[in-house]
Amino acid sequence: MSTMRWRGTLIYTGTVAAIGAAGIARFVVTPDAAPATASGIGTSDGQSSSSSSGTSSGSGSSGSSSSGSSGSSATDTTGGGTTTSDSVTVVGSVASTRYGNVQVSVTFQGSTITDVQTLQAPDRERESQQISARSVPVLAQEVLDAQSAQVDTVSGATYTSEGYRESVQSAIDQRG
Amino acid sequence: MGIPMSVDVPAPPDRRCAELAVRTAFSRLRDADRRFSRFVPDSEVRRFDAGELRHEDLSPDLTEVLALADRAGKASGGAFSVRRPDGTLDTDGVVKGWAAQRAADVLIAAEVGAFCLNAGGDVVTRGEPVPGRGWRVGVRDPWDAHRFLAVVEQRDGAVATSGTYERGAHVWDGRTGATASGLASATVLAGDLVTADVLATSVLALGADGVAWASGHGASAVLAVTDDGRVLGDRAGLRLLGRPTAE
Repeated sequence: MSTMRWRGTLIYTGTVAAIGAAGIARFVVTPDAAPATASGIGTSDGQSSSSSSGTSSGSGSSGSSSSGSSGSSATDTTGGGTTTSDSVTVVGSVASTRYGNVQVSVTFQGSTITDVQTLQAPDRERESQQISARSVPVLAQEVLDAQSAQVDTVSGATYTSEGYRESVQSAIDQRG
Repeated sequence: MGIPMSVDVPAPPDRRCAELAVRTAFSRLRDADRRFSRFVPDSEVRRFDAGELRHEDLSPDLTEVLALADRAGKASGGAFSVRRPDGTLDTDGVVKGWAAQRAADVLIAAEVGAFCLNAGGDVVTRGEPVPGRGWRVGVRDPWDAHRFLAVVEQRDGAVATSGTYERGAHVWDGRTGATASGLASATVLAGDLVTADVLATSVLALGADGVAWASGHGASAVLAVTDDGRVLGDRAGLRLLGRPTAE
């Protein structure tokens, strides 16, 4: 891809099925300075065919292999990062979970997360609704608190929330 | 269903080398997935389970995983088992940690410097994300997802959590065949993720007694939360309990 100075974080996210699903094989290389909206984010896809501009949203995890989830198109409409003044909003990849697709956007003010919006949440079945009704608002809150606790990563036995957090995580990752 | 994986390499000495290493690490994970999946009809695990493969025909990988499972089973008095109550072979309790540790080994061998690998909530870290401090790993509260039970700061190490709060009771007690009960989650710190993951799963299967047991079987710290909300830990685990967020 384009040449770029190297510094900062090399983050690679993927989903591996069963122990995991179809890896997405996307590199997000963050050159120094540049917040995510800038150029210089190299995207090289293994399996997915996204050619996302800038930081944008992932074609990421969801489209994956077998199950062929439908959600990922939503990412395209949102088109990745939006910038207003100093705040940057990054749309995370759609994460497939057992209970449905999950996608969030995260707004940064500088390096602080100021908002998390749920773009997609599972609601297919009654069971899913019960689960998501309980977990989704809480999870959005978690991200904010995660910021205040200044953690680098989260250990948890996860399914829905991991998919959810992965989506948040991927937004954070893409921001670099 | 997919388990999300992410690798953070904050300051690789050689970027190309690091990218290559990360790709290799992920392809290792995909290989493991194909080999061990219960959901792929012709995976090695399924074929072995169906009697199409003899023990001596198995790949070194599956042989190693079965040996690990066997050791864990013996060490836990039979609580850890890769045989589901219905008799089918399910290596998930070993494979995730094993495969993720192998992926981490690729990064270590490639000398990418500090990194954090997170595989579905199981974590391997090396070095420092920023000079002067280790990686901060939040351990989720099983019921209150916006809170952490503890924040572990570590340089080289592994953290694995098993729990019933997302997948339901997916861990069973190999001694009785009953689904594990008593604990909502178990978190184990160890030098490597193979150890941490197997121990965390075993603690969940063993219940409250598993905390002290894991402490004597390679865990450097253990934390568990009972179904009724009590927090258990060995001495090192209890020391991790902080109040990272306002209480």
